Amino acid sequence: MSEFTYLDKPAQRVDGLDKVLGTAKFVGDIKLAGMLYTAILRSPLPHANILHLDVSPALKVPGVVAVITAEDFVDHGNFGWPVKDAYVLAWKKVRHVGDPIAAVAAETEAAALEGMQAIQFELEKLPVVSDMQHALDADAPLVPLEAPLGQGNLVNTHLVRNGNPDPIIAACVNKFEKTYHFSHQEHAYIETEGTLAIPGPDGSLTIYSNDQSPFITRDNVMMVLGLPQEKVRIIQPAVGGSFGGKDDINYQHTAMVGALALKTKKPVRILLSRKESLIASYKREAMDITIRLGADENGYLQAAKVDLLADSGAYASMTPLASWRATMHAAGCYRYQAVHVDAKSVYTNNSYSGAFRGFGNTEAAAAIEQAIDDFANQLGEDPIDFRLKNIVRNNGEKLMTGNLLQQEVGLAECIEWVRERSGWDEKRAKYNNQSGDIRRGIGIACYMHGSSLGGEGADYATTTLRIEADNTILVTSGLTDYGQGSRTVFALVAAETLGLNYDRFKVGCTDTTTSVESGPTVASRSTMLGGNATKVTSQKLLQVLNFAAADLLNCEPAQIVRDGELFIGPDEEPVPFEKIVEHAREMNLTLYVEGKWEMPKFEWDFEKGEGTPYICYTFGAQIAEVETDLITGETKVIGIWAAHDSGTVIFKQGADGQMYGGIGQGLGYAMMEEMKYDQGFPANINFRQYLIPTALDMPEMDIKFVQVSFETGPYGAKNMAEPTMIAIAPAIANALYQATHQRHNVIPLTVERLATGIEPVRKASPSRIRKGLGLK
Amino acid sequence: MKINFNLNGSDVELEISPEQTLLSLLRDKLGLFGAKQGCDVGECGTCSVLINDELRKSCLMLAVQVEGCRVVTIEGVSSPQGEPNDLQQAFLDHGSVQCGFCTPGMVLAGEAILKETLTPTRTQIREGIAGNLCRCTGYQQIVDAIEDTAQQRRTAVEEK
Amino acid sequence: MSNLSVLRVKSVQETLNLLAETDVTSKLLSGGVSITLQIRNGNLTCDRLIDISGVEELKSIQPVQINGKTFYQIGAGLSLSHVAKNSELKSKFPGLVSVIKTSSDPARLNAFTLGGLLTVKRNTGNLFPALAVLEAVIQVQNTDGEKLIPIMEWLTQVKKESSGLITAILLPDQSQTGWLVKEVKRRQMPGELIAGVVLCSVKDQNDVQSDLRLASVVDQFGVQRWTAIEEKINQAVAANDSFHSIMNDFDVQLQLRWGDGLDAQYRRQVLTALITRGLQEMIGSGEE
Repeated sequence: MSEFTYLDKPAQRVDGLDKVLGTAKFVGDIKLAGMLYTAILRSPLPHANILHLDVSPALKVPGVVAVITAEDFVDHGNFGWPVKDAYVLAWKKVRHVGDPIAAVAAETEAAALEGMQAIQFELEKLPVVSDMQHALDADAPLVPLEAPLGQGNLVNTHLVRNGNPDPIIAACVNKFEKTYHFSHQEHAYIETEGTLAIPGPDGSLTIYSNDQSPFITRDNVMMVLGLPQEKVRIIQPAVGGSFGGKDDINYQHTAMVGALALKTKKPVRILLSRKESLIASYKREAMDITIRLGADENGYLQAAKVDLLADSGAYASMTPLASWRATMHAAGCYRYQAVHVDAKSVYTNNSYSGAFRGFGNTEAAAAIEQAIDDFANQLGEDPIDFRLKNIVRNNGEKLMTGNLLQQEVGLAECIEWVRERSGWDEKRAKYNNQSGDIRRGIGIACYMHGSSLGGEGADYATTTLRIEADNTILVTSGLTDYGQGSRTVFALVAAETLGLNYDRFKVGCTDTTTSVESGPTVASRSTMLGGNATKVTSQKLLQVLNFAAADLLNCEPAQIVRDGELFIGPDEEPVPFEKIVEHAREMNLTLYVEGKWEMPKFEWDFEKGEGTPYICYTFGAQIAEVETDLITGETKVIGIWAAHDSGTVIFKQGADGQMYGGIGQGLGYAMMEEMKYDQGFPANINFRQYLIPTALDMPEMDIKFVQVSFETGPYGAKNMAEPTMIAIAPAIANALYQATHQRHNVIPLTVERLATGIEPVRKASPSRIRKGLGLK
Repeated sequence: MKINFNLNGSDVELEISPEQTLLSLLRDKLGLFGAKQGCDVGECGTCSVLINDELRKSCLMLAVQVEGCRVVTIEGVSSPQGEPNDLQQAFLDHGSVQCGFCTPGMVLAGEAILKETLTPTRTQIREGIAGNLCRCTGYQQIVDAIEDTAQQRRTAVEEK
Repeated sequence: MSNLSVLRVKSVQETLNLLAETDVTSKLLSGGVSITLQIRNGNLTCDRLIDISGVEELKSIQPVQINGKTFYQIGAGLSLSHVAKNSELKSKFPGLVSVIKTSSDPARLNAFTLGGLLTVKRNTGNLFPALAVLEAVIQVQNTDGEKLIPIMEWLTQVKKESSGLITAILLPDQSQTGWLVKEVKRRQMPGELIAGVVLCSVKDQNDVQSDLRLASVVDQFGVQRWTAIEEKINQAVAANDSFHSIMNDFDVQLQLRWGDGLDAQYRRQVLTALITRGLQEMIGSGEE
């Protein structure tokens, strides 16, 4: 990739310096004179009617300034997309432990807490839906206020109809069927949720929120507070990780602080404690996935049939879309004659589920990749050989969803790289013959991951560039950076396109007043969408610069050649960038440009389950080597090899970091991370009970980007943030299968599950939860 | 009550409340926001500081306990002009920073390791940062940065 | 906010005098971890804190003679990391030092003091099992004088935070001829154990007796020294017998003690396996 000057080269992250110095300001680090603190009354019960709510006692507590409830919002604060089933503060009933009921603003944290504790309320317990498998039973209590589809707790369905797999599977010599279970996962961003609203003298609001998508936040605040657009400004400060997790809960918090700030005319901040965050925030949905496969006598896959059931919890949030993505990937990156997938999401009282890195494909890929491994073992084939025989490889080939690939595919190359690099053949053979209690295993999983939103909605982004008085260039994007490095990606694309030094570029935080709306920052879409928008915008600015240069050098713009930052005309006298800018200013040219890029159109028919779900896919393969103790279950991942077909890499250290970090979250998901619900009560309410990997849990990782250029992407780039996490859980599960010859069909594979086959039910403590929520 | 200690190289005398944690003193009273509050019960390490060159979690100690101690926070690691030190620069060079919330604590955990030894193995580095959780990076580039800085400081010592 | 006060003391005597005052309730402030968490949880029940971190008497490590026997006296005010760095202890009790080093994360090792952990009876990692097999003695002082309490008696029979000041931990001067630690963790964070087992064999000063000792910690079931099993195993070793029937009996005993819940079943499986493996490594299987 040596044709690039700035891309795929070592570069320092634009927001890195503030972060290493400790000067980056997160919401909790912003303190303003007169700022009020908040405490939120949250439900200690998983399901109950609100019989009585009287906030007036709170107002009598010294220091308390204001209290709000659902009554303080337009339409009781009803929000939610694609299903409008949620409330800023609970109305009529509470549906999960941690559901917010009222919010108190006070001069000190202690007063806010005391005020919250003074609120009089009475909850009438309702029967709890705790098992998604029984959520649709005829006698199941209804979780939402109204059934969105008129079918009880059914949130949504999705399907794929690619041919008819039933007769094909029936005719296959080799058949396979199994169900795999996946537990809830917590995002566990190290910074908890925080939001600060500052009221303006004109009744406007400026809100700092550590969310992912400030424009959606703005639209929600406008809707529930009945404010016009010019009165609401959302600014994203430094964000301490999100991974999909700071959307809906921050929509609630921004509305709460907005209402309180307007009421009190003072800045108001919400900052959750870790316990409150673990209890109240949404999770990755639990899923049950049943896979049926058929293969011919030579081990070639013929057809697949998959059923998915997702636990959406108390609200729909993003589960309808995450389950759609799961549906679109449920049979994996393999060639089939026919595939059917049927997915359902249901309401329960197990917290609520929303977006989380991988967005449904984390579970879908983990299910199909375990199934492929099991099937290979059943057929006596090496798991890699079996995959290589059946994966999609070529442009024009049919995918599981029935659409044809329209890109080159680097999957086989990824598989070959991890096979070679890990010493697969030798280790696999060696580990087939072991004795004793300590066993090793090596396992593989691969994946495809549809890029960007796909059929979920309109897919576009806008970048702006402005040459400042000091000749630095300010880049803004409506797409946000909560740690993944997208701002650095945009600066590098701009530097590459404009041929200007990288350190000229400054990238602001996303601000709804100065940045241009670009849809949500989700689905690993920033590099492709924001990168392309930045490229388009940079090209526009370059035209302006070349126009000015041509005027200065008495030639046509096309005659300008470049040597780094120097502009050279026919007289071969190099002119520096600063001179060109100076001349452009004399010409009264506008040195501010906006550029939008939109994904080419394609169509998925949700009713028929046919069409094209995504314009392109990334692919990859990961191998894990484990050592496990058959008696105690203790397991150490001792090696990881990962290759990802990302297209062109733009920000090298950032790309490496996405891969390492994705693997870290996947390893946690595979081995230790499980949010458990005991009749709707969460059993893990602190970081001793909910474990995430430490530096000692992570092995040294050996990674590679297979850069199969994708022409629609900026400089050939695709995406990487989510797909890098999704293969590691099934790879570890498959490695553990080789080591133990036991398939537990459940993620995570905790020590107890590995040792005994059963993970004991963890009792939740309603009294500790009450305490964790600040209730007496 | 009053306490006296050395904070990032300067002697200070402060009025504190006996219940106040060191983290609260730093953030709420002194406006030093580099030490973060991630869990407030010692599980995440984002509030790490150095007390007499030893790594401590400032949420797990009271402010009164630093009487007479040398306290170094992330604000005291860089030069007064805001230039990153060698370890901070290594974090930038190795891509060890993503969201940045764990970064101040990680840098201080790294400093604590390097005060013990300039020849740490990668496993020793991992042990040294085991109490500091990071959710973004998978830790590998953080280990790289600390290892690289150890090498640089070793070379500097050898050249002297 | 309460009217909590903090008194800084310089000597053991000063501490004891303050503890003896009956009109105010006091708690000791040493590493601060437990006190900080109590404040956070709103259950610190005292009027004042006595900060003993400046008491130099609590920070020495030295051999002492008690009733004609040599002990290593480790000051209760030392942090775990300081104990682990002491060169004399490193050579005399290398097993203990390695247990301490892996008993928690680095920041907590710097915060935890031996006296603090023993006062609130909060084990970390394999620390208490290691002290148990070394037959540590807790030296406690109150105004009535000094008491020496064996570690297991301290852990099981003395009430939590009962009045008095732990001044030191005494370790009998015996050379450990064998030392073995086995543990199971949910994740690799140091000290976060599901179960840990410490085995050691010792010789006393006169080189006479050599025996095997065994202690364990299991997350939900606490710290145990298994003296009855030790005796049987030592007999079996002397007679060159297999210890497997002993372990079968042990398993039955555990079942009686812990019941048959899933948690207990798993922990029994783990503990039995760790001890069996430890014994195999220390003394061989006992079978030809």
